[in-house]
Amino acid sequence: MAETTTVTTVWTTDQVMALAPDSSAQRAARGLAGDRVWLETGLSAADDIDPTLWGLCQGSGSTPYQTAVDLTEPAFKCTCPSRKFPCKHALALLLRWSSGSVPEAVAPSWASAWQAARAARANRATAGPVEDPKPGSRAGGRAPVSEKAQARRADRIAAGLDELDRWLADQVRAGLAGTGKGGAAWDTMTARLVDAQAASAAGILRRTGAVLGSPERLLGELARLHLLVGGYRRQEELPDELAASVRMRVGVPIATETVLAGAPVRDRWQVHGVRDEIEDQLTVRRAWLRGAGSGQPLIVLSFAVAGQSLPVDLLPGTEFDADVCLYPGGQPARALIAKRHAPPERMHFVAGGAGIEDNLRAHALALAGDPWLDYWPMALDGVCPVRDGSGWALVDADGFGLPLDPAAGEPWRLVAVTAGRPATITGEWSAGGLRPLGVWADERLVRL
Amino acid sequence: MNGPDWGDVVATALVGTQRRTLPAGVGRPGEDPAEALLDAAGTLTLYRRAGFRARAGLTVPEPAPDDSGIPLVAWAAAARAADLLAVDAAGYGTSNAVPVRDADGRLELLAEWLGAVHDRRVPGELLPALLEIARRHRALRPLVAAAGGSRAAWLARQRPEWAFLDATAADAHDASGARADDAQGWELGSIGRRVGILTAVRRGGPEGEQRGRDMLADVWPTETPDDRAALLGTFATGLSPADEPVLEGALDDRRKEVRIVGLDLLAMLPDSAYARRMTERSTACVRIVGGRIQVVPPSACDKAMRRDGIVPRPPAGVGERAWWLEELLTRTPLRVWGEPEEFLALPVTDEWAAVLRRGLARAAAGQRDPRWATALTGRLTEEVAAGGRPDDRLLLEALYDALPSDALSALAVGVLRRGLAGAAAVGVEHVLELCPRPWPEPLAEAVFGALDDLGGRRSAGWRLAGLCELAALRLPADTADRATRMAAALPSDDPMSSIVGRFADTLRFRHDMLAELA
Repeated sequence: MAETTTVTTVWTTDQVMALAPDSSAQRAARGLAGDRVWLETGLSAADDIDPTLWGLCQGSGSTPYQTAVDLTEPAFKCTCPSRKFPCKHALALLLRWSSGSVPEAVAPSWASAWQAARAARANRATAGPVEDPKPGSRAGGRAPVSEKAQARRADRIAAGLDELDRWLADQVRAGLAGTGKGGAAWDTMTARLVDAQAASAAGILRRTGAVLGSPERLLGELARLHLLVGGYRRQEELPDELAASVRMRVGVPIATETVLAGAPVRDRWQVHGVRDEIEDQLTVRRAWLRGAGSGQPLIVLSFAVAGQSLPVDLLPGTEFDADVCLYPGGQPARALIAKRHAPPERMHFVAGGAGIEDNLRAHALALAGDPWLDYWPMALDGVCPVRDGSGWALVDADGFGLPLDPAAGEPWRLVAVTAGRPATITGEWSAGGLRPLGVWADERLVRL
Repeated sequence: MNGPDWGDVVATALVGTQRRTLPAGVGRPGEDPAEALLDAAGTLTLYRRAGFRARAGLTVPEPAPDDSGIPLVAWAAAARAADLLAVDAAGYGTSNAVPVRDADGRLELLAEWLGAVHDRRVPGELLPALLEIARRHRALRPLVAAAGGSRAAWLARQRPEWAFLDATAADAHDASGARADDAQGWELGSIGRRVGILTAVRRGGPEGEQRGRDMLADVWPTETPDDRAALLGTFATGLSPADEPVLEGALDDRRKEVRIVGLDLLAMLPDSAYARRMTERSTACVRIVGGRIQVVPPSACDKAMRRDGIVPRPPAGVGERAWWLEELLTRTPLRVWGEPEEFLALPVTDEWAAVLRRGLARAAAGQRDPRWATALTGRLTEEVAAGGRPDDRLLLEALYDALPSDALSALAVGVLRRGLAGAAAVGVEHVLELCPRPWPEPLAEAVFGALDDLGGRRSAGWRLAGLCELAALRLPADTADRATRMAAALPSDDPMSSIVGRFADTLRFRHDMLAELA
């Protein structure tokens, strides 16, 4: 195996494949990952530019394609005519790298020229007004809007929420026993909120449709929506942070540049888990970060419509030195990664780990700042999975147990990794229970 | 908190505030009851979420034996196994990191990976997928049990679906005879474990064989038919004439499964009454008269023949008498006919020659007689290569199963030298399938020779694909470089390019895989 010493090889083949826009690109990349088509490949890791993977690939034309990948972001470049992004050549090059068959070598001039051009663009971006910075942060990237437009939107939202509140009261007046059957009325209300541009509130209502079978959960969700409407009406009286949470949960948009204009927070951010959920044809990826120094939890959201691929720049079990900027409101804070200072490396410990009691207390505090939070990241020390009745729980040495979310399935991988011994487990806490996302074993975070 | 009761609030909301008065403590005079109830429910929901308490008094589980002293396999090796194990609901591979598409090929790669783990530890997160695949594919069970070690055994005990591993491990354990005195396992164990125990007992020489007979006789009347068949099957270990009465008894069992086990074992006892009965019947039908073989097939299939396992109804398109003769020959000890080469050289009535050959070939395959199999293979190969019937080819393939492995390799080398077209006609893929893996050097040479030969000959594409798929999994992995050179030599617009390319990629995959586990 060739040595790739400067950058820890943290990507598995499957992670590379997750970058592909579709399965045909995966297959094509697989076919190109052999030795046949690559005339030359290398990994350059000079001090002044980011680690760059480059290669010359013999395509169907007479001149070979020039393919390069910046491993920090990752970012891609290829001279092939493909409109897929990243193209099969870039993926194949990453595959070769992940299998260890790319030697270290100085970048040819075309590769360093690309990096220089990117660096220049990045400088312009920080100096002047920000363009949509990179594919990874397209979530929430919105153009600034005029004050007039903002006022119009606020009116529309207020009207939508008023209607929601009347609808909520109607449900409770007529009895929730009947609500479960009214699928069409439910969809109409959701669509009405979307029209009113209260997208996040619409999302809460849509998700509530999944708990129609449980009257307790159903009432709880409807009551939280009612609370949200009340909060929106009274936002001027609320503390800033809570008011910001209200606007976030209603779905008042915030321009990316507003977020990036905030004070950056630098830390070594550990990726404790990533979870994808499909919501109304939109895939939402939640990446849970935690500061290695501060222990502060963050969430990074990304979205993709059908056919689009999600960024995989946040790999569970890795950590990276970066500046992040925080959205106002919401618990835990939603972050944008503003600037990375180094490529990701494997984590060496789990930051912010604590016992069951402390994790629950942190959750309770977070609820006080954002009563509408659905998911809370936990890092639990000294627990292991055990059967509890028909379900499962994480139990600590004293026999205290935290229920696992039955929707996550039986936790066999977790059972196999812990082997009945206490371990540090990361996951998402929600009303259904804890969904384990990672477990620390053999000096690395195993993704569950 | 002294507030409204959550149960009352939920009950009121279910029925509706227009039909039920608000619970105590909810709402103020003049307030809309529905709004008041929502307010109360909001407060209570938050209160309940924020005040969630861990449940006390759970039992801390019994840990697995400590295996932290055993070194882990390399991370790259573990990641590769995860790719091999990534399958969708239909068992079709989902990881594009693996160049092999079909499920069988993946299983073969996985088996190779498992076999190369040796005395290292497989990371825990792989074990559930390994146990699941072993549950569905019996052949992988011993490999998974060995590679998974004590942690896999511990894990399998947590889930009834994985109980098979216990039996598999017991089998492996019993191979050393250590558990032959496991009285409790014999009484209460799973059928797999009991089969393991009885097998271990039977390994203990004549004494053990007798003890095994006694143990089985004790439980025989109370066992289910499936268990009777499984337990009787252990008599293949240390089979001797002393077992004959038990086996004869099994022929009168109510259930077919049990009768079949009895028959198969009796056929392996050359001096049994069963063998004598079959010999008598066969020699009455097939006689050597004046240097020629005279054939008079049986005219009826009586009750005694049926008891001895002759299937009375012929398959479609076969005459009854010819079928009965074939069945008789299949179950007659081959030594009755003397030396294979001499017997086969004798002239036969044309009409019955095919039936005779078929019966003998089935006997050679069933009785795993390498001498007869070799003699018959030589003759049949010539005939099939010259354009024989398709079912002759199936018969030939059955005979390959009885050939010793060095003879198989030699046979494969021989037919490959004739070129791939001729080799395919005699079922070379089946021979290759049976050859010991990785393929020995002369066979590897012959395969590369045949592939070289095909370069550029488009018509042979489908044959090339079949051979490449198998060769990619069976050639020694260190031929990867040679395969890569072969692939590189093909122009990229050659239709064979993708087939040979995948062949090279698969060999490279195995080469890297074994290097990671070296």
